[in-house]
Amino acid sequence: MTLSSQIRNFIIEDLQFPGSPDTLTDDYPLLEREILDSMGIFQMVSFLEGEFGIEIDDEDLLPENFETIEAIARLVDTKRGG
Amino acid sequence: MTYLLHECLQKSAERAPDTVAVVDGERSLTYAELDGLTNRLANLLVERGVRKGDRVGLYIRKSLEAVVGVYGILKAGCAYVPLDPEAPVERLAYIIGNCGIEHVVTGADRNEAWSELAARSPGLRSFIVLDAADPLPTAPTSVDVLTAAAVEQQAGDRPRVTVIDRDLGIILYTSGSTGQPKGVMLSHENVMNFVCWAVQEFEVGESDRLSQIAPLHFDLSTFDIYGAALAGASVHLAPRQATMFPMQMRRFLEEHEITVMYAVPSVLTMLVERAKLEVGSLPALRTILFAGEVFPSKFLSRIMRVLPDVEFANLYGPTETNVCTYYRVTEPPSEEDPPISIGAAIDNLETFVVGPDGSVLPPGEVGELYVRGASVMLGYWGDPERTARTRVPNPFVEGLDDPVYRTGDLVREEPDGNYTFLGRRDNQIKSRGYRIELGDIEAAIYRHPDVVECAVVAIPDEQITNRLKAFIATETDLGLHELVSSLSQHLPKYMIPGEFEFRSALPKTTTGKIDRQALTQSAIQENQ
Repeated sequence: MTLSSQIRNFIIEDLQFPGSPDTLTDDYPLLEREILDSMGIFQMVSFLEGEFGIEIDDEDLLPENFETIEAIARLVDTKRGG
Repeated sequence: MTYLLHECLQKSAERAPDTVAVVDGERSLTYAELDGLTNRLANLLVERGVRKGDRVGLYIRKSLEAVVGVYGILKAGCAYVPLDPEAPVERLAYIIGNCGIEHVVTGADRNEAWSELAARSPGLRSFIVLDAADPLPTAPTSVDVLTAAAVEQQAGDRPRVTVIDRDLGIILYTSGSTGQPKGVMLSHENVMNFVCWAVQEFEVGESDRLSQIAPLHFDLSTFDIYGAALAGASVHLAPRQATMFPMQMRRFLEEHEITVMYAVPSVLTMLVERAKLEVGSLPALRTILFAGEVFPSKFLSRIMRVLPDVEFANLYGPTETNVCTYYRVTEPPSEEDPPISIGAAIDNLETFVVGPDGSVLPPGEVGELYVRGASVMLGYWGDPERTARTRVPNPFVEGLDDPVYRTGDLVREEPDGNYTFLGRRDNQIKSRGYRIELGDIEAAIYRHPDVVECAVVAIPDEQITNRLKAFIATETDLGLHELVSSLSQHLPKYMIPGEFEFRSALPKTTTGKIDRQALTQSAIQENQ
């Protein structure tokens, strides 16, 4: 399973994505549509840290890193690479 | 004396026309600009046929235009009704129908919802889009859509409408216990009683820069907006996502050199835990006010230690009275201390503790907090029965029209005259500062035809006061996804439980009721 689809599954299953799963594309605006709210962000962070063995610093907690699945996957990649 | 909410703006515009009034990112308006724009909007509303006392919806994300909307509606002699931009259309249509809204001031980015709102709200007559100059292609046909161009064409002088402080200024809809929100009616006097006190107590002046963090449908917003205008200070709108991203909140406070910040404790907890603050950070900040929920001593202590030069105060009060008591926190509490006091009554309000038999209790005894004075709401819109249950005649004075508000909060007066908050008399809880009736959520869950039984319980949480968990009994194979999709049609996101557990039946008490206590215990244990 690709990185994006793991994140996507987490949003559908654990963050209770309210729409049809087909609409949750990699560029779906997660913040704009409030799929990620203040609770969801922290659930997402613990998921990413646990699942991918990375550490997300407070400095990484910025909207540009969480606005889409694509952005989150990029953040994970950077953290894994670095 | 300043009696009216929009007088705060008008007087500052006369006194200091070129002072910055509102800042939204890179954009800002001076007092003169804001005063002129809001006159034009008010004149447009009058031309559209609004009459004094009409309710006008405000369906717009926080922005300069939202502030223009607030004052424009007030200047037309109307009350504004904030419609949460994130709430489901069904809930908004209920509010529009409930208080008879005909005109809605809105933003272009809400246009996806206009057609559905119009279809569900036969009484709607116009959408006034403040941030679009050109006609919009997606506009519904049944409702007139006016743009900023129509506002511009209006005269810039004040509309001739007589408003006094008894007039309705705002309706704030909050969670109701029956599945529908209830509209708290606030007069100009109700809100000004708090604003005047707060500006004086915290010495807000022309050089201050106030943050605006809470949504407009939250009563906290009244301090930021009207407090700044009354003092001739500037109000700075926090970016929408700053409450989710602590570093962004920190950046906002730094860049705007905010001097007075008013927020719910969970926002402050995130700031102190995840924004890398250290002693010396945020040098401009002088005052932090918090309200809306209990601030755990652990986090209050940490933020006070890292910001030693900032004064802190706990403001307490339900939407129905706005802030009615306050407590200045002078020393950081110990991390293990019980939550700090909610303090004593603000100026021009009287509070007392009443026992089950209706008598006033002496200090040391636990009872319900009653509030008397100019801040007590006018009532719930269109619901005199519900109003009569909590806004009652003063039981200790006869023959005077003197309503008191029963808060439903249990408190005890301590020997030093300050109150300790001990809990609720009913099923209402707080989460991230939002006030939530568990029955409201249960009613929405029951709307799904497959649900046989349900109970929503609150699990105490250190950072956000409470988390929500729903227990559902169903005879079908109702899936989580389907249930959540259906709930998100009826409830705002903050009311949708974070956890669901499906069971074949829910446990019962000996009297046959769903055993909420047992469910709460099992939810708490599971989380340990």
